[in-house]
Amino acid sequence: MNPMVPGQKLTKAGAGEEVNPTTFKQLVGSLRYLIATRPDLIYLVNLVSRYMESPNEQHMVAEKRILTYIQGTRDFGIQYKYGGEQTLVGYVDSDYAGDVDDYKSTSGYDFMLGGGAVSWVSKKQPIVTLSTTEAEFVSAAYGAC
Amino acid sequence: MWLRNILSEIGFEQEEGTVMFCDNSSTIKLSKNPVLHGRSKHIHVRFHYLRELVNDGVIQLDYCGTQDQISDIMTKAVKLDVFEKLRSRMGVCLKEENTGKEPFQFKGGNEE
Repeated sequence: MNPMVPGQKLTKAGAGEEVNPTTFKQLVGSLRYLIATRPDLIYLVNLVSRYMESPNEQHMVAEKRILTYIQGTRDFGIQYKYGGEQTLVGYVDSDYAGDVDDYKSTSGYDFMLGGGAVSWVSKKQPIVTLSTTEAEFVSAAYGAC
Repeated sequence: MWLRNILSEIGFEQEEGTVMFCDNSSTIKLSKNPVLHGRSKHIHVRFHYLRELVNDGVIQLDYCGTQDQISDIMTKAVKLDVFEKLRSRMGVCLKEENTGKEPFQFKGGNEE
C-alpha cells in the first residue's frame, strides 16, 4: 500500500473534529525514532510533525495511514552490499511551495554509499523562495553543508 | 561536507568531488557562473557557499531526470509504483530470512 496519498495537501485548518493533541504528539515522537532506520518514512513523518499544535481528524487519518504502512513493512531495512559502490553520491530535491499555509518549500537530500542510503533529511525550508530554481538552490546548499 | 569529513576520518577518503544530483538545470547553471539577474539576486549570501564548493571541485552538481531522483520521496507524495522503485533504490528491502547461508565470519585469527 502507498503510505501517502498523491496530490493530497494537508492544511493547518484541516478537517473534522479536534483530536487529543497529547496522543498525536506521542505518536509523532514514536515515529521519529523510526526515521533513523527507515528513509522511506521521512517525508510523511516530517509532514505530520507540522500539525502537532492543533491536530484534527484529517491529520490523524494521515498519521494512522503511516502506522498501517509500517505494520505491513515491519521487516524492512536497509541492505548495504558487500563490495558495493564506494563513492559518495548525493541527491537533492525540493518541492516548490509545498506547504499551502505559508508557501514555504520542503528540501530533501539523500546520500548513498555502498548500495544503500547513509544520510537523509527532509526539512521545511526556513525562508520563502520565489522560484523553483531558488528553492532547488537552497536545498542544494543545504545538502552541501 | 560533514559527511565527507566523517568518511575521511574513518578511512574512506573521497578522492574525487562528490556528485550531487539535482533535477533542475538552471540551479546547476547558477552554481557554475554567477549571473545575477532579477530572480536570483535576492538569494541569500549564505547559499552562495554552494558556489564556492562547486568552484573548488569538492561538489559537482549533475542533472538527473525526475525518474531517477531518489530524493523525490523526501519532498513530495509520489505514486505507489514510483514510491516502491525509489524505496528499493535506497536499499530498503525485506530482511532476508533463513537463506540457508552460513552466517558471515571474519577470516583469520588463530588456526592451530
